[in-house]
Amino acid sequence: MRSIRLEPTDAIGGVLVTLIGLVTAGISSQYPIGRISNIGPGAFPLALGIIMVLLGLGIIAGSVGRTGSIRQPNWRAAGVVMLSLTCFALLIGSFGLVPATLASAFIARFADNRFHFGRVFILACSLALLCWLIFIALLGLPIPVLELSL
Amino acid sequence: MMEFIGHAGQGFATALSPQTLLFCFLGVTAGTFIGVLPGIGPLATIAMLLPLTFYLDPTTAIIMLAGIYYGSQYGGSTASILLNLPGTAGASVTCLDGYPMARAGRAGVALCITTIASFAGGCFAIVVMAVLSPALSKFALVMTSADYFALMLLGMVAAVTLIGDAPLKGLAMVVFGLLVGLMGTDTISGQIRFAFGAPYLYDGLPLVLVAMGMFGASEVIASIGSDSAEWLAKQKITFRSLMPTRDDMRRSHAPIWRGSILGSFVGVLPGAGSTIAAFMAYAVEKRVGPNREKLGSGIVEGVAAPESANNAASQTALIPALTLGVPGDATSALMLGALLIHGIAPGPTLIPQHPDIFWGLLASFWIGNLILLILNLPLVGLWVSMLKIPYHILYPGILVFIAIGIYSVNSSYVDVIMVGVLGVLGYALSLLKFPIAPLLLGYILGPLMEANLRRSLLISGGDVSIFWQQPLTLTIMLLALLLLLLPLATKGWRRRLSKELPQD
Repeated sequence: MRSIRLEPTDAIGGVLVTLIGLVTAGISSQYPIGRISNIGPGAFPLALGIIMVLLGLGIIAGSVGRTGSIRQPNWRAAGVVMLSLTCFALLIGSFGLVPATLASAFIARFADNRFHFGRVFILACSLALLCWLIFIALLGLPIPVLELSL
Repeated sequence: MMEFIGHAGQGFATALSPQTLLFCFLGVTAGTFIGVLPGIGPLATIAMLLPLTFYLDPTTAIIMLAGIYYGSQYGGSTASILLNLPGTAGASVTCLDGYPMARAGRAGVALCITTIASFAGGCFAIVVMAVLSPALSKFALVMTSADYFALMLLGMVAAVTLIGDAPLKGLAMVVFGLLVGLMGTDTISGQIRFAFGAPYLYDGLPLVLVAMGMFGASEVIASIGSDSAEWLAKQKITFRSLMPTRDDMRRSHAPIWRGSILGSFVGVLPGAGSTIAAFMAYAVEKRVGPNREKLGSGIVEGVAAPESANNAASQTALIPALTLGVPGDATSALMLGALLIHGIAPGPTLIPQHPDIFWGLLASFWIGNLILLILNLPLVGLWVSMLKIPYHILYPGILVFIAIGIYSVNSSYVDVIMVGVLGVLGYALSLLKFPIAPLLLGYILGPLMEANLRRSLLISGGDVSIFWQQPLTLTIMLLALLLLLLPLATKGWRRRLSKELPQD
């Protein structure tokens, strides 16, 4: 039996596009479609969903018979960035700008292997100072700088 | 003519007040500062700096935005010349001769010629803009909603098929962008769409979130682990080494003119934008330039032509965005979105109703260009040292900057987390080699396109032939169709183009 070769980047991308199209079409068919002379809120997205399915199938078709490899993802970087932003989000409201900046800069440095505690500490502190200068002193954004009372 | 001088005077009066001048200066500096960072193009730079303008009054904000727009572009070319790392596909043409020049120890001259060429291209394009925009905005008054729909279709198709080697993937991203743009409450029926039951999404996803997540955060993820070139650390760029010889100046003169004229006209075309302009200017130089055989080995003509064209085009690309409200590429779409945030609706009524804003904007474009010229030559050493900062020191700063910028918009911590989610999504899409810029174009055009479609069908009473009955509509529709079929006809040319232009 001969196996069919697929270029993985396009094959996965095409499947993804097709799925998004299907989900979109499914959701938008629940909204009023309206009549052609007065189309409802569901019609345009439904059409887009169908177009997207067709494009997705086209992308999959284009991947047939080609070879290639998918780029190696850096999930560690993605995870660390996500974590750093989440920490910032959780700290800024109740503790203020300085703790949030310190924490997110500190966490961000875990994304690669060159972590050195002293240097990271200096980096985080200077970033906090810089951000305070730009956003609070210069631009006067209404963000609390440091809140210690809970 | 007198009217024109009056308007220009009014514009300069707005743009030359000390406060606006200060913010224009700040915008140019910040734009260059971020734009010079490798891998961060104008789109990401504008997205990141957008929140800085939110606390200013509309006119000042737009002027600062214009400064950011220019600064980011100039910063991008600095990175392409010194590191061979273009932030955009347009800047990659500059790499062809700029990088060899830098390797030959003439980086300073290349940077200086870039600055001069950008300034010249910008100036020429501003004149074109001043002449063409009022005319186009008068013409826009006779355009019907079917024409607008067709024009948006043309813009989207052109933006995808003219560049990039995967038109289907580009189209998929445009459609995905259109869908993201439709999220939230439908303005006509009040129906809430694609909110997945979350009240957070009832107003849709804000532009700043989409732009910062898809271009800012995802770029940070993609660049972690990369480091700038070693050889740059040994380079010394002094003010003296910037000075081009008399021969350099003489030789760049004609390419700058050709580039400016070509770029100005290519920029107005929907979807073409600065990438095509830079590429075409380089191609013209290869045909008619007196030193055409040496192109690619590091000569000033190869820097002067694309840089003037790309700056001119990015300027005139704003003409359709400002006068019709229909942006032709992702960057002008982002600028359009930014104007909307400040309560200014670009379109045929902008010039008659807000002449001060329009002419003030033009004048500030010119001043922004001038500030770049004055600022960048002395500061080039600073930009070079920016490039020497290792990325592992830079990215925590960029990340924190994104977080504060987003938080400052609505004081919403959910927004900050959403940027992370969109960043990971953008990163995943770029791993699958989807172009991200078309998504932003679709996102901006989504609601506009749907509204014009509905309006057209309402007017015609459901008769679909409204999209090809009028000669103007028919012409635009046929052009869009032609461009849609173009990839099939020009596979060879596109393959060559995509080999020279990295995808962004």
